[in-house]
Amino acid sequence: MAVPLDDRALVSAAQGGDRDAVDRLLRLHYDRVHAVCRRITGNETDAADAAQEAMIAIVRNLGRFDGRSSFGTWAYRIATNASLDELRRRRRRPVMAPPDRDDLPHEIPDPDAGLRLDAIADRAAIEAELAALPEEFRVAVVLRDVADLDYAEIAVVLDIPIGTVKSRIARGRAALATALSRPDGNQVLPPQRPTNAP
Amino acid sequence: MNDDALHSDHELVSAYLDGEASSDERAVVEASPRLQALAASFSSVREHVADAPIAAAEAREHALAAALAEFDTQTTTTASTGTVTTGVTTGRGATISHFETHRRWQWRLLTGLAAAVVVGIIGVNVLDNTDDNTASTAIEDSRNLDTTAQRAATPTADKTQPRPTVAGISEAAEAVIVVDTPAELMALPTPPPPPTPSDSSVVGTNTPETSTAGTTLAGTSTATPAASGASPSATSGSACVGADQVFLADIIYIDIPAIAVRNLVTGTVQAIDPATCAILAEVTP
Repeated sequence: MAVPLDDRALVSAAQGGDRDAVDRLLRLHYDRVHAVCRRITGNETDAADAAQEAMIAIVRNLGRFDGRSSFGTWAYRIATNASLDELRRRRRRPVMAPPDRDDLPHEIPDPDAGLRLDAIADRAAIEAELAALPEEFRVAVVLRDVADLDYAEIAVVLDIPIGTVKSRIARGRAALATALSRPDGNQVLPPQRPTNAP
Repeated sequence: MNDDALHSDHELVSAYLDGEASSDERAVVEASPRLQALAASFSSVREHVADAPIAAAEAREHALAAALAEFDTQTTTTASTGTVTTGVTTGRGATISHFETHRRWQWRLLTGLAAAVVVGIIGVNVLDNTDDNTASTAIEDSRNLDTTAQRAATPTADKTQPRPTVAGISEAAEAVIVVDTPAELMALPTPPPPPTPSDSSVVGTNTPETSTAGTTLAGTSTATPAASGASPSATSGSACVGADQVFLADIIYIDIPAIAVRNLVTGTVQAIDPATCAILAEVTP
């Protein structure tokens, strides 16, 4: 049977018991859900578990989704909660450190290899710095930059005022920018207290 | 520049990048080289954060299969049929079928009932023979379950010690209920009110003060958490059980040690991580 493409139609069909629509809906959103989980949990194992729990929770609660928010907003809220549950359930694993540049060969024959190594190091560095952020800042930044939610949607997901969303995102980005601009690029940030002040 | 002013700049530039700034705010940012430089820095951060690693195909398929299995379970439960043959991927990747799940649950139930009968018989034996070695022999012959009963049965045992109980026997078995699906979680029996002292003579029951975890054998609930006035075991999170909730059993939910509780008002059953009180799963009737 033909499966409609947009979220609204897919949700409606899924709520009516259309298994193909459920499959399509989940596939459409899995990558973004996983990305949210990946950035919040900071490691692949927990992210995979959290994303799976989120998928199951989406199915389990699909009947209660009333369409007041977009399906994506609702799904990312579930993903966020699943990620935070995963973090609380398990002790956080050590975050992979970027490769020690002193160990790299001085002459690299592949002209693109240096760029690739830089990219790997950058990715590891951002992961380490994100993990070092206070949870409140990290979640707000991830919902904005990974889930692509606007401030109003993030406010709904986190149940906080829009002004607080704005403040947390700014503080998170400032901390990340400061950390990543340091020469070593991946030192752990001093803890910052989250604030509810806008 | 003080911290407040700096944070104000950060908020302004951040909102500017996110399209959340007003026209006046946009003009301020675009007129300031310093704020433009800050915007470039934040923009770089934004790109790095957004560049999250892509999920492995295997993890994606496992997750989707598990979610669809949940959908099938719900559909099956709604339709009150037990013949779904869709593949199920559990939380840790072991693939089974729903049909097998239902068969396994039926097998567990039958096994559990049989085990309950055995335990009840042993309990009577123990209670009737605490002054001689018969209890020890009987228990040893019955899978060496209860060291407490053996101590009570030896001639040197302190006669003031509590009499061995069925709960004590089943504690030694140290089995917990393995729950792999929401349907199994929902199927956990609700304990009846704890027995009154006069009930303690009933075969196979315990006095509440000697009870701990629910009786479970062969990985299957025998419904004696109810009869034993069950409560979370010593390592379980009794603090996680709410006012309207009743503890059902210590369980393993998709490989995670947990406790099962039922809300007596709504009927909702939850699997809860006793260490953190995080809700691992919730099933509504």
